[in-house]
Amino acid sequence: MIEFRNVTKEYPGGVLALDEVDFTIDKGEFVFILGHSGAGKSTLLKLMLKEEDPTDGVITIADYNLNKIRRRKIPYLRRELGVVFQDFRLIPTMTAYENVAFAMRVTNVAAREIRRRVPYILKIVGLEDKSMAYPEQLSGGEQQRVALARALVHNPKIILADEPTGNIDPKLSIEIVELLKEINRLGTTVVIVTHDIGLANRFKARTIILKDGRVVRDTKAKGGSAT
Amino acid sequence: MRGSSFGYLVKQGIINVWINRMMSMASIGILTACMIIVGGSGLLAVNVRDIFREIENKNELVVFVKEETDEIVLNEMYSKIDGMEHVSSYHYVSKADALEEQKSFMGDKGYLLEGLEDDNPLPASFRVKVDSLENLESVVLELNQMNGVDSISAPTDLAKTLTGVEKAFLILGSIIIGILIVASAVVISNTIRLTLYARRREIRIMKYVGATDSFIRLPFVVEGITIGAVSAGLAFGVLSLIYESLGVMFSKSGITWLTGVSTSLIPFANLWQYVLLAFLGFGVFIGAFGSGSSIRRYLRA
Repeated sequence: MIEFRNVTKEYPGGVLALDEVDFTIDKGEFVFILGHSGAGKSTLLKLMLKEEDPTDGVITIADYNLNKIRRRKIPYLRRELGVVFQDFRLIPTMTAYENVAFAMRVTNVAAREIRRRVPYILKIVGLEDKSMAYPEQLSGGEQQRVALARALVHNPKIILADEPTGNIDPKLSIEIVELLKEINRLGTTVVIVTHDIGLANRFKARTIILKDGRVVRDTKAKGGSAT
Repeated sequence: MRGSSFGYLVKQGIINVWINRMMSMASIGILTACMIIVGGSGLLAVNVRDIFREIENKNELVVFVKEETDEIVLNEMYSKIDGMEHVSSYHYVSKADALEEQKSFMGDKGYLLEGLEDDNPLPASFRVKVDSLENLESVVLELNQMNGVDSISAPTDLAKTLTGVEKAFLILGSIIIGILIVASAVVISNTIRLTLYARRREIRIMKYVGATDSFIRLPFVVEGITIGAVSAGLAFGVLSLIYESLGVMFSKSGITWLTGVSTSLIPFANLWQYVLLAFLGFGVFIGAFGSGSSIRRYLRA
């Protein structure tokens, strides 16, 4: 599902963000990618979303070879990847419902399908009562759920969550991860990128630890330093 | 693209115009002004050309024939003029004809010329019409080399001035129009850039959720085209009012030459389709082009 083969990313000026990163995440896995700021997490995300190109190595996501993908195919790659950002990135002038519907409208989905699917997704994330609320009327945890609903709306193969617990209090963090776990149980591959080691430990899932642009530990890697 | 999606995106584009209404109004104002200037110069040019054509048609040069030119030389002159490239028509006026003509010019004073038939002082001549004012000088030069020519009377100075004016007009007009086109494109492109900035968050989200470039682009192109089309409509209305009321003002001015100009003005009824079409074409093209050039940079990022 996600494959990094000896991926190196060097930024102009000689900053080495990723150094020979190599891992595979299979379909249906639930994985934490753990690292301090500056360890290369953001670069990893940007490479997966094809916002940046690797200096060296091969990346494959959901059957797309990112080294060879055509520019006009990138939107279709991104529909396979539901992304949840730390800062939610909701549109403040739209209600929760509209924020989720927006993601469908701009990807050529029929109006009828939007009307059917948005309430269903909002129910999954537990926000059916708040669908007409604007982001500023929602708590951090609720906004995060709207963001998650938006990421889920295309029924993506993979959910990528970037510090999903960074802007909400610890109790709600656990709820959000529980929710992601639930989504994972329904068959979606979930990757959580975080610096929160406590969170990763609590859920006893596969954890890939990045340090200074290298994978220093992968709890699943064969013959690696699994613990 | 689905019809409902298309409708949604077009609506977003029109909303863009409203969200960004201060800047939209400013660019509509500038664009309208540009179109009025360009269209006004266009209408002026069309009318000037019309007047020039009338002058060209009236234009005639007179080749006076030397006294005591014999038949042979005269025939030679005939065939030479007949074979000249830029001569559109000509006819011969004999000494007797010239006298008759003069008599009729003088009207009831014509009797003063009675008795001159045997000692006619008026020369015979060829009246030659040239196809275009531009070629007048070369025709005069060529005619001057013929035998039997006494002198040639031709409005060469007028011709030079007129063709010069026409050329200057064309060059100056093209430069002004060129500058205004570039200015309009820049204005629209800047307006769209501001909307893009106001909507940067949405654009970013659109990219993350997998919207295609054409989906992201369309509302902004619609915004540009809307601004262009509204400007075209306004410019058309204003210009038609100006044109019509100038005609009325000229005809009522009481100044002889202005009244003359008003009668030779091409009526707006014969022109409006071209003006409207040109404005709409210009507005839509500049709108689409201006917005397209702004968005390209956003899509690359």
